[in-house]
Amino acid sequence: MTAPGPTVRTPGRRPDESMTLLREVTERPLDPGYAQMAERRARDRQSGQAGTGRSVPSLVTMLLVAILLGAATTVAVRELRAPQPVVAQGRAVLIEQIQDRGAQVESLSRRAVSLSSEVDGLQSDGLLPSALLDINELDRWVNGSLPVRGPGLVVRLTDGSGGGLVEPGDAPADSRVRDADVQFVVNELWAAGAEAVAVNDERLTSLSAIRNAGDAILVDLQPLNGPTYTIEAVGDPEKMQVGFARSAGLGFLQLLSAEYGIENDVSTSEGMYLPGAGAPTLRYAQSPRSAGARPTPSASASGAGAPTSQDRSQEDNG
Amino acid sequence: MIAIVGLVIGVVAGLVLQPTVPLVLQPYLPIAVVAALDALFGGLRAMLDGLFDDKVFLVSFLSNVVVAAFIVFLGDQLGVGGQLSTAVVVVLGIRIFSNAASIRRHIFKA
Repeated sequence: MTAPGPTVRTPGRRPDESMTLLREVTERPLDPGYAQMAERRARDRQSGQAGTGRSVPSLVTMLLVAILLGAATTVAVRELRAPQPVVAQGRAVLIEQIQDRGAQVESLSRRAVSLSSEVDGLQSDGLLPSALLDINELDRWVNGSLPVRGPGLVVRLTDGSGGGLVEPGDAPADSRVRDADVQFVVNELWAAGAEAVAVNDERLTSLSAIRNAGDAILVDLQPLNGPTYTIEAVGDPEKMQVGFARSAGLGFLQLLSAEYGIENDVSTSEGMYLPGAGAPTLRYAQSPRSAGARPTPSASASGAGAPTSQDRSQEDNG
Repeated sequence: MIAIVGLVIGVVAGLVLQPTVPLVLQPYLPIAVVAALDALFGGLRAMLDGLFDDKVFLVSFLSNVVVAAFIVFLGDQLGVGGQLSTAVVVVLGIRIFSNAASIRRHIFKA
């Protein structure tokens, strides 16, 4: 294509000569081959050759090509219209299995809680002195095995929506609530005097860990369902509110909201019910005073390995 | 007319036999179908213009499909598959539209 230089334009040139491609597309959409062929046939007829048809082999070839094209197009259309490819089916099966197993885990852990409360009932029925039972019960309230009830503070973190312009699934990964955000809020709540904390109804115990696995936040290996994460803390609502406001917690929430669009909401609640996490099973840790017990490395490892937010908050307090 | 007869036989065969498309060819199906549509509209318009010819129709059909698929393949190799597919769809779409407009003028005289 020649550059339109300062040369004199011949009057026959079109002003849009540099856009031949677009002109070709819009002005002459019919294949020029048709016109050429028609012209040739007309010439043949004039010259009296009467070329009525083609040879048999070429007719057969054309028929075969036509059949092939028709079949190929039909197959392509059918394939594209196929409602559920194998991949999607496989995924649906996997999703179903995950949901099934999740429900099983939930029902089993509920059963564990009810069984442990049954054990409590049997224990309190006799034998043990009541003072010992009281201490036992208090311990288990504190460490999260038993459900508790009481007033307190509720902090809600909601995934940023990316400005509401995109689908929730397409929102930038930065605008999602991360494990560290939940951990920070939980720690500040412990520091503000919380006596029991639950995240999306998963009670935090002395063995709890809050961590990320892929995009999901896990509390005690239970994935939490977003986009809103509710952190409930039982304690003196006013004292906790003041403590939380004085701590770095509030500033952190403002930062999350300003930088990543993560919405938050802090409110007090008069009556909350935090479920119990059930009695934890210690496989390696033993009491140093029990008979035949020796300080094994695994005991100390499991003690130190569990990242307990309680421990940290106690350090903060002390 | 032999091209039309062949196409109809092919469509019926495709519907009856239901062969599966190899996975390698899957990415080229949409663009090939658009190219086939373009050829079909072109053939229909030529028929209404009185210019239809079996050979021209079949050759344009075949070359449309093959070239469209090849462009997409080339784009995939160069890492611009999506953009080249868009380009092909735009060009063929414009052609389909103006052929359809011409057909409309033939049928409705408007």
